[in-house]
Amino acid sequence: MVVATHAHSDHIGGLATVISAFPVGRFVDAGQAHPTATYENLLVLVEEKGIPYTAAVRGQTIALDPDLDIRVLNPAAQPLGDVNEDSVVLKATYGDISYLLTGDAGKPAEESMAKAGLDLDADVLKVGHHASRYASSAEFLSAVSPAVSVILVGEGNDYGHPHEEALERLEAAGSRIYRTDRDGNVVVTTDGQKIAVTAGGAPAATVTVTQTTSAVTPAATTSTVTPVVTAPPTGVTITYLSLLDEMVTVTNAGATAVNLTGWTIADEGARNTYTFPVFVLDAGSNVTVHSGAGNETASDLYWGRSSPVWNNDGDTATLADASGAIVSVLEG
Amino acid sequence: MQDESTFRASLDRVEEGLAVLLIREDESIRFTLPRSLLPADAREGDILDVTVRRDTAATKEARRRVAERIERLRSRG
Repeated sequence: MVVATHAHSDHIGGLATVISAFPVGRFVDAGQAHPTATYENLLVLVEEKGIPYTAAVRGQTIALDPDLDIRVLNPAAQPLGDVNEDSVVLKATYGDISYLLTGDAGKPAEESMAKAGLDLDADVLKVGHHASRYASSAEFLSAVSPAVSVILVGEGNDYGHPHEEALERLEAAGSRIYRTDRDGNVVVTTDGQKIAVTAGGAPAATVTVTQTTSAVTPAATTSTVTPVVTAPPTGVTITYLSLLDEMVTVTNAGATAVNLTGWTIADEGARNTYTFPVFVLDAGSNVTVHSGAGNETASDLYWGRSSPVWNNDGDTATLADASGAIVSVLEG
Repeated sequence: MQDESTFRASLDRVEEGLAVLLIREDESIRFTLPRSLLPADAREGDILDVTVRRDTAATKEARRRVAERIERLRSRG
């Protein structure tokens, strides 16, 4: 899943390259018609590649993984009419830990979210609008009470980001601040209970999250943080391929649900490749991918092809995971 | 015309009084202008038609003035 928080070029300028390089199961967008060629060309690519598209609206949830709760907090159904203020804001919760990802949302969006009575409390805050003075209001930060704040900002930018006022408010909120202009890449991982931050290649700092206050205890450093790499899931195979009826069935015989987002099914010689949208296959369940069009359900997905995919004289279906590793092959 | 060029630019955004403009033909090329130099009604997302014209008369006149001043200073010693 790729989220374009909003259409400004400093946020989407590189996305065409990203979605060309990686299989994308779903493209989540702010859906505001910004007339730059950069944005238009990105949408052209999403359409040409057949990537499923969602215009984010407050109240939606995004089913990426059964253990991950992702909610859309912004934009509201009635947008504010400003590209920054209509940024997609997501709250992602895993276990006890929440991340608030704000795009370039500023004070009007913050007020809109507060007024809507949304639960803004989060442990990790991607600071709004590169820590512009027009974002991260004291009221907003008091509702979020982030233990860790990450500012994405270019070194020596033309706009004076991060602004001193915003930094002072973040400090006053008791948040530990990381800045990409000084710290380089900042990676914040969690096991659902603790947060581990790696910045600028330095050893990871483990941040203890306390539920009652926003105080931060920088604990002893751990040596490294290994990026979360899920082991190749077992139990998922192609169980049925009908060349005549143009359908292929994938079964999860394992004991846990498996996220098939970005997985692919290809025919012999990979002349045709189907990419799964955001989709989780429950334990003990089947999903059938039909070559034609139809209404998608939890058990039936549709490739949307107008002509047959499978060769009736014999063909092979190959299932690969999102990294391209082959998971299962079935001859029909 | 050798003294004039025209191109289009997208007004991507305005940050801190700076208009961020992207050359329409290749939006990886970016430049900024003070917002105050753009038409008052210009707004984010606008496609701007930009014309750059050499003011040869003003250039000639300024060059003459400066040369004259140099001469004056030189003769003064």
